[in-house]
Parts: sequence; C-alpha cells; structure tokens
Amino acid sequence: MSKLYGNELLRALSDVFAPTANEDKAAELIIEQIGDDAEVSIDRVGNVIAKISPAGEAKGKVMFLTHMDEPGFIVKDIDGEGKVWFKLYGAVPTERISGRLGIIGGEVPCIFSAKPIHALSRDDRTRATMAERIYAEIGAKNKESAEAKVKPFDMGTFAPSFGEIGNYIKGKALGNRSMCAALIELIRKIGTEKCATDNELYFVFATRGQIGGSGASVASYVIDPTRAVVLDGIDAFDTAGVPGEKRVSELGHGAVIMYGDGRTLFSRELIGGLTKYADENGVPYAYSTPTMQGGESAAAQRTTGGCECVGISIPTRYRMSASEMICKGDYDAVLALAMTLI
Amino acid sequence: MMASGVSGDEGEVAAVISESIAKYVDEVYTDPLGCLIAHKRGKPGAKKLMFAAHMDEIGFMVSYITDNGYLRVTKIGGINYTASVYSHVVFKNGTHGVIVPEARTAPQSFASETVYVDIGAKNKKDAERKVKIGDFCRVAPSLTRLSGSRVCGRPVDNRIGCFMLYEVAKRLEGCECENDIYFVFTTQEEVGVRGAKTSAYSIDPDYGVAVDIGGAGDIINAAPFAVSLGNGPAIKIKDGMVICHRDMVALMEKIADEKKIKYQHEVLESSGTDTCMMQQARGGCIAGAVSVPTRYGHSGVETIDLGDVEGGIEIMKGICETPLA
Repeated sequence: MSKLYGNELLRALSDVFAPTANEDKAAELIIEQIGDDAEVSIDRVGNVIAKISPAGEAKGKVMFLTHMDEPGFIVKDIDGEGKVWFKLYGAVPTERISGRLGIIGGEVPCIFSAKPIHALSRDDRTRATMAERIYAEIGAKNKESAEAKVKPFDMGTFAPSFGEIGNYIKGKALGNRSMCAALIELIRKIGTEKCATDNELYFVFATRGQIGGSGASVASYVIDPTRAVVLDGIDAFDTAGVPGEKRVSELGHGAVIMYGDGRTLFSRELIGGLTKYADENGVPYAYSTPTMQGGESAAAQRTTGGCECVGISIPTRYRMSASEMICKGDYDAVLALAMTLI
Repeated sequence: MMASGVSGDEGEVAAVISESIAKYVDEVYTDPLGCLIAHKRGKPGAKKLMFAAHMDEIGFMVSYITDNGYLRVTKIGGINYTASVYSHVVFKNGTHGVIVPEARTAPQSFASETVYVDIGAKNKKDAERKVKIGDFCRVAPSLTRLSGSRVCGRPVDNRIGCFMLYEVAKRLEGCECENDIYFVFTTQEEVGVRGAKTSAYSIDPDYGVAVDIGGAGDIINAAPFAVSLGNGPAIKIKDGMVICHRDMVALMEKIADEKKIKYQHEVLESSGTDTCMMQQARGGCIAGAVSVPTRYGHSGVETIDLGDVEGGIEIMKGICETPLA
C-alpha cells in the first residue's frame, strides 16, 4: 500500500477495524504508513513503537503517546431469534448505540437495536443495564443462520463512516485515530525537515486505551521516558444550548493544552512552554481542566521513576459515538504544538 | 502551613523544607514529580529506610471564568464541599476570594457544578487580570492554639507530617546512623498517592514508613474507631490501600515501649496514604506508618494534640537508630 497523506490518511485510520485488545489491523496500517521514516517494532502486548535517534548523544527520551484501539463489542450470546447480545468494552454512552451501524469481525454488518423501555418490567426499568437492552441485528431469522456468520467472542465495532464537510471531519474513533495520524505526520516531518533534536524520540501507538491504558503502561516501563506527551481526543460539548462552563472544549478554537485529566496533573513548565510558543507563533489553543478520563496519562507520567508530562488534545464532538467529529484547523494546531516538544 | 502547595504545585513548600533540612542531611534533591528527597547516608551496604510525608494539600483549580467574573472550579483531592463553602480562599499570587454555593442550593447538592468562587471582580475581563484557567487556590491557611497542647488549623494534613520528618532529621544531628535514610517529602498524595510511587521506584527502599494524619473516634457521633486525641501516636495496622507489615508494627511498638511512649493502633476501613506505594515499589518492601490522630480532617479546622505528634517523632527517630537487617 502506498503512503497516504492528509484526509486520506485520516480516512484509512478512522475506517480500520481495531477494537480494543485486537488492534492488529491498525498496527499493520500504521507500520506501513511509517515505512522507513523510523525504526519500528511491535512489543509483546501489541504496541507499535517507532523510534528516531538523534544525530549526536541523546540527552533524554521523549515519548509521544496515543492509542490505536476503539470501543469493542464482544459477542456473548446468540438467542433463538438470531439476535446477537454482546458486552461492550469502552465507555460508549448507552444512548448513542441504538440504530447505529456496526460491523462484527470487520465483515458482518449489523444494526444495533434496543429492547424498548416499555417492554421492560417496572423493576427492570430502573436497573436495566445495556447488556439487558441492547443487541445487534444481523438480519438472521434464527439461531442457526446467525451462528453461520457470527460466534461468541467475535469482536465488533461501529461501522466506518468517514465524511468531510469543509474543515470538519467525521468518522469513527477520530478522537484518537487522528492523533495516530498526527504522530505519523510528526515522524515524516522530522525526516523531511531534518529537525534537530537532542533526544531519543519514541512514538507509541498503544493498545488497550479503552480499558485503562495497560498497553501504555508496558511501553512506558520499557522506554522509561524523561518526558511524555499524551495525545488524545477530548470531549467537546459545544452544541446548541450548552453553556460555556459545561462545554469542556470547542471545535475550531485550536488545540487543547491540558492542565490535567482524571488521573494526572500535567507539568506546569511544559504547559508554560507550549503557551509561550502558541502565543508567539499564532497557534490557536484553549485550556482544559477536566477531572475525568485518562488511563494513559498515569502510565506515561509515573510507571517508573516519573517524568515531566503534558497532554495536548483535539476537541472531539460526539466522542465515543459511532461518528466523532473534529476540525482540521484544530488538528493542525495539535501537530504544531507537539512538534515543539521533540 | 503558610506555604502554598495544592497537589501538583508544591514548589513553595519544597523550598521551605529544603532550606531548613539541608544542614541535617548529606544531600537534598528533587525528582521529576517534584518530590523533595533529603538523604542521610548510612554505612556502606546498609539497608535503605524511606520516610514519606506528603507536601501537598487539597484545593481547587479554576476551570472556567463566567461573564460576570465568577470562577468555576474543579476539586483537587478529596474536597468536601460542605466543609469548604463560605470560606476565604487564597491564590498564590495574592488574590483573595470566597468559595460559595449558588443561591438556593441544598447542602446535599454542593458540588463543583453548584459552587463558585467570587474574587470581587466586576466582570470577566476584570477577573482575567488576576486569575486564569488552571490556577490553583486553597482555603486560607491558619494555625490556632485551642487549649493545652491542642491546636487547630489547615493544612495540618499533611504539613504536620512534614514537620515531624524535619524534626527527626534535626534530632539525629551528629548521630552516625547505620541505616541509609531517605526523608521524602512527596507530592500529589491527595490525588492518588502519585509522588510516593515514583520516588519509591527510584529509591527502591527496604523499609518504608509514612507519616500522615489519621482519623479520631472521639468526635460526637463518630463511627466506632479506637483512636482518640491525647493518647499518643497511632501505629497503623491497615488503611484502605495497605496492610502494614507486622514486623514494622512490632518494631514501632518495641521502640514506643522502650521510650515509654503511649501509643494506639489504627485500623482504617478506607482512605489511603503514601504507605501503599512504598510497600509495592519494585519488588516490595517492609512498610508501615505513624498516624497523627486528627479530628475534622479535610476541613478548615483540623485538630490535633501536639503530645501525640511528639510521640510520633520519637518513634520514627527510634527506627532510624535501630540497625535494620
């Protein structure tokens, strides 16, 4: 496969089938796209790690980190009517599932459906979990015809849905897959622009981000960085009627420089450095101080003896839904800021 | 206590401690998370003894500035809003404010979404001249003597622990201790025992002792808890994140008995301290903790008995002086 650029790279990364703990296809794509621009390897838990060594002696080790995986639906059971019941890995809000297109095993299309709430008993209504209400419809009439296509422990994801409207891009898993694209572009830029660095650079495309970042822990332990930069999507609740203080972030206002997330407080020095660069060079940005999300940041900052750590995020509308939305201008801002940390 | 040190921003506290303790130890340095490590070298081949007291305090971070110039904040650490509202808050740059609930909010609904900080600004632009998103603030510090040896204030949690470690180092002046001692003033304990994790990884101790505030069961209507003020330091048996090593508990009891120090035992169902991270660092170590019985923890009026503090210092000094195998 030839190298992809710009929106075509984003499309390929968004569409690829890589549910959590089953990231092989995304790993393959990423390794192909990096090609010879860095030394690439896969570690024992499936993390893709690209390394660029400095020309002279390395003063430190910088680890850029994002994750490859998307929420995964694991098939638990197929009932007598050919409906597929599953368990979800990844924090997808329940209300965002019904009616969406999915794809099981990367091949079998399905539609997510929900047992209507009035069909639940009064007791069930108050404690109905998603496992009891939501199932996938694969168009099978009964159990046998369903079992011909799908079996327990098959993994599914939302179906690809890449689209562009001007500067806005939508698609599944764009929050973190756009950051995979950003790391690939960063690797390419360092090569083509012959950027000087004093540090050994590691670009980690981690596994299992949806379930707490255990992939990132392993990578961080082995690399033992002196600086870590965590890239991911951050919620943007900037839709009509939502007051300023509840928006967390907004599309079209640049990169988000994080003060912290649910697991980590980021380095004030690095935040100051990014702010200064952004102000001096006209890179749009905003701050955010959420106290939720974040398994990977903890792994990045403190798996071994600790390192200076910062987060740069891309505002993502409808995060963890079948179709996330980002803004190209924000993507460019994230890339510009990440570049300053090599 | 006057030095500002909300989790993630402990530099000011580190500076105060560093200046005071430097003369009693061989080297002082910081780690990437800002932990201050004061190292008193032992004999070659000696066992490593790490003490941990966290420098950070709970507080708030500005998350949003409204058009009216009010500030929305997010919690840093285990903030109890019922204990925090209607308090005077201070920022590192000298800005003052008050943290208050929105009008007509029931006490059970006090949360980050329903409280705000008023710094007396006229509007957003006026507010932005003094504070910005990401700035820390804390309930104003204080220290007041109540009666006898009882004092109250904040942040007793855990500047009292820092003070106790400093005193141990000071009382060991001139002592040729066999043990290789690390007095570690950790960061970010209140947000998940983070500094202790990284500093313990780097030091890789054989023995670890945390010192922090504990609970007190002598408050009216408290759940049954066998620790009370004035009955000596509490030797930790367990808390929500650690079961202390029985050898460490036994050692503390032995030293207390020898020095005729009255002590208590602490069995906490929940909460965590730096102890657990030392215990689990690398291949693990023999860990325990000394707790200062404290009433009204995480409020503006944390109350302790200095007699209990004195006993705790002497137990820890005794551990330093005991050649560890």
